Order: sequence, then C-alpha cells, then structure tokens
Amino acid sequence: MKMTISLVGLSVREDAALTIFIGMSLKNSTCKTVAFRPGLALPPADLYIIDLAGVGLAQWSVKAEADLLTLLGGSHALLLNFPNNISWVGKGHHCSGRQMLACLSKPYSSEKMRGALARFGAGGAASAAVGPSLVCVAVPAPAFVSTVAFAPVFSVAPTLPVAVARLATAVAPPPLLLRHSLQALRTLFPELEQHLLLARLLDMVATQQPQELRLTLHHSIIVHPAQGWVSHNAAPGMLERFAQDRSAATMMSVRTLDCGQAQLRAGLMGAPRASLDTFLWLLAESSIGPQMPPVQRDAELKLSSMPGFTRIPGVDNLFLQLAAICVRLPQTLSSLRAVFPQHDPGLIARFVLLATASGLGELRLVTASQALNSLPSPVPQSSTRVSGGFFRAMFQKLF
Amino acid sequence: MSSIQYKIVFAGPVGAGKTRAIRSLSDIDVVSTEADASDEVREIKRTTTVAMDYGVMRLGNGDQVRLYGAPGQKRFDFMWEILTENALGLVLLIKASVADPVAELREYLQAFRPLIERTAVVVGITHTDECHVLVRHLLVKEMQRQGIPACVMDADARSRPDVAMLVKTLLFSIDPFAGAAGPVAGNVMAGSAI
Repeated sequence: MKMTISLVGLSVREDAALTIFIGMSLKNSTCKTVAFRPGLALPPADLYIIDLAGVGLAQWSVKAEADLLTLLGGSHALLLNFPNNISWVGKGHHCSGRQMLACLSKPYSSEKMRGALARFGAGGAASAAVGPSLVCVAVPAPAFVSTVAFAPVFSVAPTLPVAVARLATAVAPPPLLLRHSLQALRTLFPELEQHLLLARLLDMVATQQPQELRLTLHHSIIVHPAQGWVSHNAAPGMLERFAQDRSAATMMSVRTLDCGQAQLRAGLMGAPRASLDTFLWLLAESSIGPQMPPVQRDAELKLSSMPGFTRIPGVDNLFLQLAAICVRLPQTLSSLRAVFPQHDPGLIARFVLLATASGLGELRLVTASQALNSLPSPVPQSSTRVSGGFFRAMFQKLF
Repeated sequence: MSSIQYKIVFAGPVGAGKTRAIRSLSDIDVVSTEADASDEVREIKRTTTVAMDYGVMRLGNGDQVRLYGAPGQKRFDFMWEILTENALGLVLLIKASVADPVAELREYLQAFRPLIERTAVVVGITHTDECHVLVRHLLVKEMQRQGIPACVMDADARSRPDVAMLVKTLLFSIDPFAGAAGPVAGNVMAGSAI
C-alpha cells in the first residue's frame, strides 16, 4: 500500500531536499508539501514530518504539546527539532496509544532520516505490540543527531559508519625529496649537477632542515621542507640567471635555521611563502630549459602527491596522466615509455626529473630485470563506464 | 546518435566556491536551467534551485557532462548520496581560510567515501592566501594518512583554467591509462586517444 507522507512547516530548501530524498528512498510513498498556517487542519496522511519551529512549536509547553496533538489528530509524526533543544525531551504524555511520534534533531544525516522513516514504515506492528504506554525516553545523542522519542517509542538508528577502512592505513607521509631519491636522480641525470642553484637547493631540501640560501647580500631563499614552503625575495629574472649561470651561483652560501628562525627570516624579508614543491618544479624546468636530459639508467618513480598543476603554467597533458599513474603505483621509466609509445621518451624522462626534483617523487634505480617485472598494473576499474570518445571530447572542451 | 550523459559532483562546505566553479565550466546558466533534463534531474527539476547547483558541459561528440554542486549544509547531506549515484567522480573544494580545513576535508572524505572508492577525488583549495601553503601540505598529509591518492591543488573557483585543471586531473585519476597502449589495453578508456 502506498504511504502518504506530508511535510509540514519545513523551509523551502529542506522541503525540496526531503521530497527528493523520500522519492528516491521510499519508492512506495507519496510526498506532499503542506503550507502551514495557524488553525490549519492537516490533510490526511500516514505520516507527517513536521518542523516544530516551522509550526510555531519550537519550545515545549503544555499548550504546545496539546496544539501539536490536535494538529496531528492521532496520526504518526516525525518531529524535526532545533539542535540542542531539550524542551521536548520526555514529553508527549498525552498522545494516543497507537500514535507514534519521534523527534529528530537537526542537522540530521541521511542515515538517520532513512532509519526514522523505516521505523515508521513498520510502525503499525510496532505500536500494536507496545500498546498505549506513554513512557518517555531520551536517547543519548550521537554526533550531529540527537534523538528524543515518545512512546510507543523508537530511537532512530545510530549512524552507520560510512567509511570503509580498506584504504585507511595510518602511514606517516614521506618527507620531501628523500636523500636516496636525490642520489638516484643524480645518477639518472648526471647533467643536473651543472645547474648549481638547483643542485644546492635539492641538497638543502634533502636534509629536511629549514635552511637559508643566500644568493647575494640582500637576496635569500628560505626553505622549510618539513612544512613544504619556500620564501624568497629574488626577482624571477634573478632566479633565472642563477639557475643558468654557473658563475653567479658560485657566490651562494647556506646556513641551517630552526623553525622559528626560518619563519622570522621569511617575515623579515617580507616575501610570501609559496609551495616548495611547485617552486622546485618551476626552478628545475627553468634550469634544464627545453632540452631533454639524456637518461643513463632506468628508475622507478612513486609520487607522494599530485604536483600543484594549477600553479604550473603550460603543463603537458602527458604529465598530468603520468602523475595520476605514479601517485597510485610506482612506475619505472621503461614501463612508462612502453605504455606511452606514441610520446617522446625524452618527455617522459623530463617528467621523472621534474617530479623528483620537486620533492614529491621517490626515485629508486632499478636493474633491467626489475624493470621488466614492473610493468604498470591496471588500476581498479571504475564501476562508472564511459564511452570511447568521451575523454577526447572532454579534453577538447576543457582546453 | 544518442548522446551519453555523465555526472561530476562538486562538494565542499558552504562558501567554498562550488557554484562559481560550476559556473566557470557550465554551458548553461547554473541553477536557472532550462536544459532538457533526461535523468533524475527531470523529476526533481522544480527543486534544483533549492537543493543543488546544476550546470552542463556539452561536449563536441554530443555527450553531456552534468555538473552537480552538492549542498554544503550538512543537514542536506542526504542529497550527497543521491547526487553521487553513478557519478564519474568528485571535485572537493575546501576553503583554506576556515579554522580547521583538515577537519573539513576529513568529514567530506568520510561522507563521500563510497564514491571516492568507486572512482576518484580531486581536492581544490580555495580562498588561498599566504597560509594556504601550510593548508595544502596538511591536506596532502591527511589524504596520504587515509590511503587516498593525494590530488590536492590550489584553485580559484572563478578561474576556468583552474577548475578545468581540477576536472582534467579528476578524469586522469579515474582512468590514468586513458589512451595508453600496452598492458592495460582492456581498460575502459583504451583507444580514446588524447
């Protein structure tokens, strides 16, 4: 039999949302909105969902309770209550024996609402079994939802944990640029040593200590690897010159700071703090220029997080794709080249270099046999399938 | 040729920029749409203005991507579940300027966990200023702690390139091997050259 649910005194937004929710959750129900006004006789319904404040009954009183019961005329109701409003707790002594009333505090979750509606759906049997007892019960309030129930009483089911702990493993995040990654990077791209500013900064970051790199008497770069920020007062042109000019870079000096000193120095320079990984990516890009560095060995890359691509201009689509792969699974240079044969192998090597230099990549040298064993595994397949041309059309649209 | 409709959900707390983000991508006026809805939007159309943000991207191949902004208020969290049904993925916008952005992230990751496990999530940090550097670092750490691939980027919700980058990252996160040759040729995206 179809269940008729009337929504009374709800805000337009909440009314709309609940209408959708009920329509999708309880297929065997009809949902109607009742515009409340004082003195209104409610149209017949199997269940009313009433916002107590919306019908002027936010606070309990003897008269409010009498008015509510009159309004309901013996029908079941789910009462929506203000958060932390306990004035209705333990009340409802005068409801009729078969009448079911429950109170749900706002904000309620979908699980709570679904649980409440399910109980009302089975209410006939429950109320007959319980009889006209009017014992009032207050149910301890879980997070976000407090529930007060009248007799014949039910408590709205507690929130079920939505999260599945399959992926939730408590692991410490890897620090930026591990020392062994830096060594692997230098083995893979020996030419990197020619870029003194980048090389010096990578050394600094690999220590994981806050440090200051003094470029000139008045220009410094402060890095705080553990907190992932950099601050500097050098103009972009100066950084570019230092990135590409060996003689300029030979004047640099480094000193270690503690956390407080690093923040103080950054403050004194008056320079904003920026993401260290993005800074290093851009500096590495600027240092090596458009050239594709020759690769000496094979190596496996695993990204700890996706680079901040919204702040890196001109990112190649391939880089996005490679990052999306390597943030999930470690991949070797050779396997990535095998998977993307249509792309320039140098571009893939460039990605590995930039990702590692940004500090986000953990790099490990591998032998040929190890590389063979590490071809990319398929990612878990999404339950949402898409058509073949979708990606192409979507990217054309986005860019 | 019949068009296919996809769905991307934008979520996040009130004021994070969901409406602006959708507006920056949508081919129709967000919310006050007269588009010919053919999925669940049709039955709830009269309520779209109050229950969600809604926009559409019309693709060159005739497909449509529906952009849904989940209401930020937690009391409407039951809408989240409805909106995420059959969604391609989730763009989660977190305000850098709130007192505890990590707690916000944690809450939304939990609420949308089923969708995230089915597909993918990309986090955009909005309302950034100098403090955002630490925020991104902390959000990355939290995602790593939860075992979720950490795709966290600064984003100006008013900027189409920023929002487009989030969506593009989401798409690659859903199927990183899209268009790839080799051992994953059987994947859903195989053959769709980029």
